[in-house]
Amino acid sequence: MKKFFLQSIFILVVSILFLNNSIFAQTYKFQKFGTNSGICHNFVYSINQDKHGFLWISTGIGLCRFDGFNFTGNTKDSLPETQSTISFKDKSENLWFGFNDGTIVFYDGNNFKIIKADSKFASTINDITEDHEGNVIVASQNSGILVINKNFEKKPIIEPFKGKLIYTLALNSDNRLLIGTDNGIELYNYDSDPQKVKFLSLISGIPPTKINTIHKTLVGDNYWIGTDDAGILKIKKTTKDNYTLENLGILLQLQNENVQSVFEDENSILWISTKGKGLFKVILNKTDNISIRDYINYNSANGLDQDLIKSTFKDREGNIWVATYGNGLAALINESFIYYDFKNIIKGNNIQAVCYDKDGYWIGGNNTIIHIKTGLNKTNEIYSQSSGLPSGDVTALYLDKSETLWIGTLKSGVFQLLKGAKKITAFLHPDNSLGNSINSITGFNDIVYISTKNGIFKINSVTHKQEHFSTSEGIPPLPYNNIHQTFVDSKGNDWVATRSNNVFALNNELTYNPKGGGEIDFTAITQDSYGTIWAGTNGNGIFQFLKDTMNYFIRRQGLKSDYCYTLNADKSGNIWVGHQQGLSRINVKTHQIKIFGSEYISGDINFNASSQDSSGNILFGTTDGLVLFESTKNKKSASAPIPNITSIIINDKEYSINNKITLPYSSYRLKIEFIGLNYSNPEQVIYQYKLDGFDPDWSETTKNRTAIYSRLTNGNYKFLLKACNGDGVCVEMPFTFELEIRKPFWATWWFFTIAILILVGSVYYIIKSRERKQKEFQIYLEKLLDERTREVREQKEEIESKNRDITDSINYAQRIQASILPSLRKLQHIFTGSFVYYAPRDIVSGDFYWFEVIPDTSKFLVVCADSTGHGVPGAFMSIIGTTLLKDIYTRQDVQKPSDILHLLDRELKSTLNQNTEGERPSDGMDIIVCEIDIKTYQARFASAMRPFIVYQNGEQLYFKGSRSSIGGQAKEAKIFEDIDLQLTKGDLIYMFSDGYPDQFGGPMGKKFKMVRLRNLLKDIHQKPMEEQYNYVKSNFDLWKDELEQVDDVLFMGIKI
Amino acid sequence: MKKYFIAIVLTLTVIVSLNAQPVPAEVENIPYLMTFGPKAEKSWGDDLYPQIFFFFIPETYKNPIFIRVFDPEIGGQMDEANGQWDTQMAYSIFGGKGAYTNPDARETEPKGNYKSGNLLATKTFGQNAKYDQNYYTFGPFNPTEGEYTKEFSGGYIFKTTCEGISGDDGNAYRYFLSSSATDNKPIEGANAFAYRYSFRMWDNPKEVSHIYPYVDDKTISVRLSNFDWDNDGVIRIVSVARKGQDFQVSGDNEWKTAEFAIRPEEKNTSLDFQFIKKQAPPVKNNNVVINVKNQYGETLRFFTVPIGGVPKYNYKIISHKGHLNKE
Repeated sequence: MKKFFLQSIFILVVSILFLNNSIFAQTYKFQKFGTNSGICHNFVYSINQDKHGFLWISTGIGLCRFDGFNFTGNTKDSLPETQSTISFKDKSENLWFGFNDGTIVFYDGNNFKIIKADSKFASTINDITEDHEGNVIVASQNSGILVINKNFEKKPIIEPFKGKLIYTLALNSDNRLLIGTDNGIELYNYDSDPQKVKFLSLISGIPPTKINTIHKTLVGDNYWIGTDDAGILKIKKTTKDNYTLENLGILLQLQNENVQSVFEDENSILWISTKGKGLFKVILNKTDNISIRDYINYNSANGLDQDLIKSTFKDREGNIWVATYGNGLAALINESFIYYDFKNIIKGNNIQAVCYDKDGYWIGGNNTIIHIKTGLNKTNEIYSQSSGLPSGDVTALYLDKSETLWIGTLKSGVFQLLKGAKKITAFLHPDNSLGNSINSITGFNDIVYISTKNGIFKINSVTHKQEHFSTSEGIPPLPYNNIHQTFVDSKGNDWVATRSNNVFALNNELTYNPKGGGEIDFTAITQDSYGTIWAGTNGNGIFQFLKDTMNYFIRRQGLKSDYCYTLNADKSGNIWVGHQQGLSRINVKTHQIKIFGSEYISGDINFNASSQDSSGNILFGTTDGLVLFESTKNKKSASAPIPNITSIIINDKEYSINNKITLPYSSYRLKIEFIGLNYSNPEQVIYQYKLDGFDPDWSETTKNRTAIYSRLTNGNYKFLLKACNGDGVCVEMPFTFELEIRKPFWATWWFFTIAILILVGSVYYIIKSRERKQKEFQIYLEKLLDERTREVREQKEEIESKNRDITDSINYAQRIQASILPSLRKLQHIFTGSFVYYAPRDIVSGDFYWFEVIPDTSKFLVVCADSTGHGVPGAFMSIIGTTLLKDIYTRQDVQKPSDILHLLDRELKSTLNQNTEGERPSDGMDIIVCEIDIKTYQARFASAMRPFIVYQNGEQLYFKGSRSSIGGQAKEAKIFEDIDLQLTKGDLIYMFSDGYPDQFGGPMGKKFKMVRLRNLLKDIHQKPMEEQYNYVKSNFDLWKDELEQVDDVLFMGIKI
Repeated sequence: MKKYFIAIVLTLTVIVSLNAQPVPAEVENIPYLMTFGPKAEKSWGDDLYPQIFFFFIPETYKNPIFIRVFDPEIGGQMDEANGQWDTQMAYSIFGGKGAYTNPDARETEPKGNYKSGNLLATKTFGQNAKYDQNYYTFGPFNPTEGEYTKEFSGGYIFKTTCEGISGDDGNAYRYFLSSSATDNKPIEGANAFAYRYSFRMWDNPKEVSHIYPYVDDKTISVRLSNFDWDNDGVIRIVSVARKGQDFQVSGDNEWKTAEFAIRPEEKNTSLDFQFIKKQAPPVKNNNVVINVKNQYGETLRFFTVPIGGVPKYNYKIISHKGHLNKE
């Protein structure tokens, strides 16, 4: 018995190992960016962030820009491709970079300005700062300092620093320069006038070693000093030029270490970069700002993978970026995840079960359970087979109300570790091997639910009464025996996660049925703070079961995976979903999903290996250790992504994004690549964009960072970009970029204006030209007219002269003709009252009259003749006619008027040679010959082509006359008939030429005609002959009126 | 022409395959480098100029490098005391522009701006038991902090200086260019060279030390200068075309110069200067200085790993050229 007792004691002693925290390693997750990730070079010296949010990495081969996804090497060919040693952000947020060849580069966010080193200043630029007037002070290792003003004018200050090696510098509030040399810190009076810069003193107490950095403390005019081999010191100003020294390095065991840089953030957390000991995060007590409240040393052993650290930088989002010396860039993005490595204790570092208790938490894996106590100076406990644990995997842990630990195993059923006990005891060992395979254990009050591959065991932890639910046992029977989890909600409903077409409660008939009706493999269930049940599945995403409806989250909607292994609801209104190599976090209210991928969770989260404590912290057991999510350290990213355009490609040509782009008129294909700079979770940034002038609305939200517009024609466009981070924080003002495609030249205002001007000008020109030509023509015409006028005038004068001569001649001829014509008195003597209306058209007349008493008879011959033609030819014909008549009427053989006409015809033809062949002019005359016996008033008429009118006894007699004319050609023999009339006293004879009836006139411009003439005579024949004469004359003038007289007029009236 | 081409190819091949940076190198069989305090007598074997070495890192090497100094302090068994230990020795590492290309840094009698380039690290040692027969490590250094050169297919060159600051004791030390801060891990493709060699001869007369000046194609003749050899044996020159040509060494506290013509076959190869001690009486603690210049007075480099490998007399070359010379 004693032996047994001693053996038991021995077993207890050896079976429970008491561990301190050094047995398992707490590790930290750094995102690492080496050359494999695209960084330009693995030696990183400095990190900074420009005003657009891009990170600028100073590397061993120059500058490298990072946008969260990609690194870009020197974007400008002329930038130095040598080691960039330092970067500095001035008060205007411009960046300054120093290089080891002495070059200084200024960058305002859009353009670089390269300040080349001259021969006097070609040493490494080790530090840059800014004075109180905005001048930049540059420390050159071998060449003193250089002051650069805002106009980039350089003022080297060399003399005071001759022979000194300057590694760092700072300017204090008293305008004193603190110069870090290879032999401590020297104090100088600073002035932009080089002559006034004077050495003051060597700050005492600082070891004579190389000073790597001088960094101003957040409070006061004090400085942190990083040294090459004396750790980190703090100097506090006591008087203007005196400092006291405090050694922080001793407290951190860094007193002999190489501190490369020190950075104190806005929370007074000190980040110390060492060359050899990694990175230190130091939280100081605010009371003295020197004693240490807490610190973490990130190094090659706990996740940083590198102990050579050049510098540290905190970006706008609060992420810590670490410049490593030879291992690229590292980023501490999220400190809320803490990682524990148990690979020295648990096989494969595979944590399959976790469970919180009031002292800390329990974890289970292969052959092992560990109780980790989080309080100070508490010893952790490890339980293995020697403690009674069966061999194999521990798959479930549950601490019941009485603090008994229920242990589920993969193959051996359920074991218990009672409170305070050191020995694990078997509790449940069903006959069925599947029943011994425990998936999860949970409980509510005294009831414990053990989910197995063969149904659920519901056990009262006090009475040990147990019920078994499976496909064959229990009411109602389960749809499937492999139960992943039983979850008890706040109302005591015990929900079952298994392969089923619904989620159902074991103790009553509550169910939630996903739409679709098919079987779903439910893996985990939880309840959010609003009482809503959520269920995770194996391949079908997540369901949120609301009262009347449900929501469904799958990969397409942003879930990391449709395969879900754990489900937890935190106190901040989020559902955490465990996957392989990652987590999804769903906001219960907004349904926004944030993914924590392999950069956070390197292993796979095991089935139901999660547990949550009262503070909201969640433990996740993974195939690669334990992950603790500390909710208090989880800060919502308040920084919206900074939207930027990274490239603009128009018709395959890249354009600068710094200025508005203006293109000539054409059709363009526009490709815009953009980014919302967010370094915490760049892949979770979502975008909306709109091209004003083309898009009517904003685009759908997208994670795609490219916008393509295939055909853009003329117009003014403004590209607007919005971005939101994974926490839903969006940029307030969209990023804008303007693009103008000019109108075609023919649609521009200037073209219109020019066209109008040209048109107006052309019209004006044409008008003016025409005017000018017209004027010239007019002048020409006037000239011509003048000439012609002169000619006409001359001709007129000539014509007038000739006309005058002709007229004179004709007038004279008229006198001759008049003299040939017999005197009217002779006629009126015989026939009183007779009249002759004689109106030649052209002074002389072709019409003529002749009368004579036939000698030795009482017969009186009266002739009324109308020669062909008028004017001079007519006059000639009248003279010929008169002459011939005068010759003929006396001939003996002439007995009657017709004889006269025959003779006259013959003589005229003869006179005019009309009888000769070939000479046959048609000139002749129409003539009436009237022979009146004065005594008897016997009248005999013979007429050639002329009618005549006789009033005999008051009756008008009209005679047409012979149809033959005198002279001219005749086909037949001419017949002239004599008409005999016995007239009486008072009878009237009217003879006339055709000039009277053929005259145009009257209201219609018509000929007067014979009818009117006969009517006229009817009207006037009874009037006195003088009146008749006047009437005949006035009637003719009245009829003719303004019209031209067409022919000579002869009108004879004889009253017997 | 074909011969030169083969020589160049072989040279480049060997450069690429270089794989060790102890200085002095194993093939040199030199026990220590020697630098004395400024107040020492020159007759102790040093012409009192700083010892300058250059380390070449191939462009392809991207990891941190370390320059380790074995026994950097002045005291203990290795070093040579002159009365009390009172010497301080400064080691400095330079990189950046001018570190190598500045002519002052390549003189046999370094003066002027021989500390050209960017000072990357410096450390002064006096008597310090911690580092007696132990390593002090400079670095890590980013290879690109060296001065870039297109020579040797491209790479970066760091310069080390060891200079007596005070005192009159002799400092015996060695360098090692390493990829590790704590171990001597050679950097593949790296090499080291100097224009002036100040070192200690072995005490054992059986030991033969070597240095390997590189003869480039413009070298017509070589002038060998040695200092304070104490008439300890001869300097034998071996090359691909020279089976062994002996030159007389200097006596105590004196320079001795010998000049000889370079044969066409020797161009673009290394020469092997063998320091053969006289067998009796043995000379101990003999510190010497040597440099080699060409016909223009330009210094030739000694590579710790001889370019083209350790030269061997090649009978075929000589026979082929038809001017076999018995030395």
